[in-house]
Amino acid sequence: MIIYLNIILKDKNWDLGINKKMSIADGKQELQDLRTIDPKTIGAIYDQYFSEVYRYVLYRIGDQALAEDMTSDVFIRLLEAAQNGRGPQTNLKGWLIGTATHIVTDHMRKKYRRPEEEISDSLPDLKPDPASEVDQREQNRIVQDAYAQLTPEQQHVLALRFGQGYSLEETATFMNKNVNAVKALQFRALAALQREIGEVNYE
Amino acid sequence: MNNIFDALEICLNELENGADMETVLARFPDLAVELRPILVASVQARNMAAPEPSQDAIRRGRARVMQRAAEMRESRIAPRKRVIPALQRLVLSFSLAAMLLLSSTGLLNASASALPGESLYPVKRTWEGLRLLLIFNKEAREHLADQFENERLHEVNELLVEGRDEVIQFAGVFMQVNGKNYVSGIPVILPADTPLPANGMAVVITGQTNSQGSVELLSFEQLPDGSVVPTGEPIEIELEDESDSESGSGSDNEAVDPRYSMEGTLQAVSATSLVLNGLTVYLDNAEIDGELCLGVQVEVEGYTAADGRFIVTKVKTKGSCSADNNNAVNENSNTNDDSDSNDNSDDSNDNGDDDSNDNGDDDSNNNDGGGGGGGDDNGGGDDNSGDSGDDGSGGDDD
Repeated sequence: MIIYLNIILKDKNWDLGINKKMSIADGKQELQDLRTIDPKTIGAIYDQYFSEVYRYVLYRIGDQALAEDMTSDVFIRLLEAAQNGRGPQTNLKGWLIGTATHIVTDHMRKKYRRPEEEISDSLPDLKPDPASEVDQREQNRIVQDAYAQLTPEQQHVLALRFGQGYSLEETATFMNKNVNAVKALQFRALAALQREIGEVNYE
Repeated sequence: MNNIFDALEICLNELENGADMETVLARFPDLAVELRPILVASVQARNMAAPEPSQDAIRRGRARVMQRAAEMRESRIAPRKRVIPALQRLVLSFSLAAMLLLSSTGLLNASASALPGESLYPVKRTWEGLRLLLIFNKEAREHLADQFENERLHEVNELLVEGRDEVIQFAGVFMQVNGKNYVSGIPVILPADTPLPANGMAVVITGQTNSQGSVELLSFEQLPDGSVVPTGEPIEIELEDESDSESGSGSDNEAVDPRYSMEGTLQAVSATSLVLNGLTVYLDNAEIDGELCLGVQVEVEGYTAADGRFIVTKVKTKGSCSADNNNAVNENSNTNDDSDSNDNSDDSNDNGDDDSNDNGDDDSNNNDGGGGGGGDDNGGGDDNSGDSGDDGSGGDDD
């Protein structure tokens, strides 16, 4: 329990090196604490990370009610994983975001297999007025529709970098890639987004 | 190409720090055309950032996660209960129930009166559990469950009467009367530091019966209000402290246990004992009202002696004897008194044969004549009388 809170605090400072050392040394103890399903530990983890995970999920899927459910699913998976002796080995936040990514991807795959609604009828021939004149909400909807057309990896990098506001280095850690790869990935993702939204003359 | 990726990263960081887009682009004049739409897209990607969740959303999610955690804790505490999967368990219980029904109702009957600590007691409890499992009507099941709870109470009473030492568990209503604690009429001794439940509280008691006629509490659990528990019937328990406190009548003769009376058909008569309803009772200067003979209905009064024998102090016959019955009794009692056991067995065999023949005829005559005899049963009664007469005499010789 104490070690867990320690790690939560360390997470805040986001010193990954220290975190990794800690976890490798105390991984078993950490898992043990979570495996007891102690309400205090669970409550503390939830309070610490719910908002962050929720914002990631909502960015990816754009549906509040669904995002709520899926975010609590992430924490329930954490409980189950801990009980089964799997669970976060290196860092907790990374594990949570990673799990959220899996849940979102699963959801997208199901949705793709059984599309419930038209995805992009407004996109192709849309010639948006100058941004200043377009209702921000409408603009957001357009961006969201465009975003939905991106590949899962492109969506992921944009959600981390611009949705969560993580630094390049943090994003690289979450994606398990090196910094240069993320630089290229974010460039292509933004280019794709811009292509989907359509040319916007900004002047 | 690496350049433009790096340039984008620099621009993004500067934009994030509040720089103007044109100023940022001015740093990379060669790449500005290419970078501009990318940066615009980045602004839009940032605008899309989701708001913080509402407090309601946080609460809802928290409740869901905590509930799941509680479920997981519970299922982990009692994982052994699920060793046998539900369907298999159902099949198993059905086949067990069928087996028990078809093959061994005798065992079940025998177990019906078993008390805690006896070898058949688990059979009794298992059977109760099966019966509850196999009833699908909710009301009927609750009724049966109540019945079983009453049975628990009854078992405790029996154990107390017998003064046995067993660990038991039963549900009842807690009452404190005159500083003594009772649960549904059963005296319960609480350890000194136990917090008392309120009067009238439904509790489940785990305790140990003792030879003093009370239950020594091991632990108790309060049931929620409105729980249905057996309240106990006014069962007479002959307890030393109770009889002392209630009245002087119980303590008249300390060596003598409760008085009793019973009625039955006389099956055997000897100088010192009678057999009725298959039970041997011993005469102790008994006051005999009427003529004793086999097959006659008698009412006896007496008490249980300290050694467990039933002592009769008063015998009253109902109805009259036929002459032959009377003779038979006399013959029996005479031979028994006079002869050795070896001789006795021979004699009794002879007597038995003769008697049954004679009686058969006589009885039928009597019946025709409207006499009050017991019919053919009397013949059986005679056979018995021969045997039990022997027993009686053996007892006398000792």
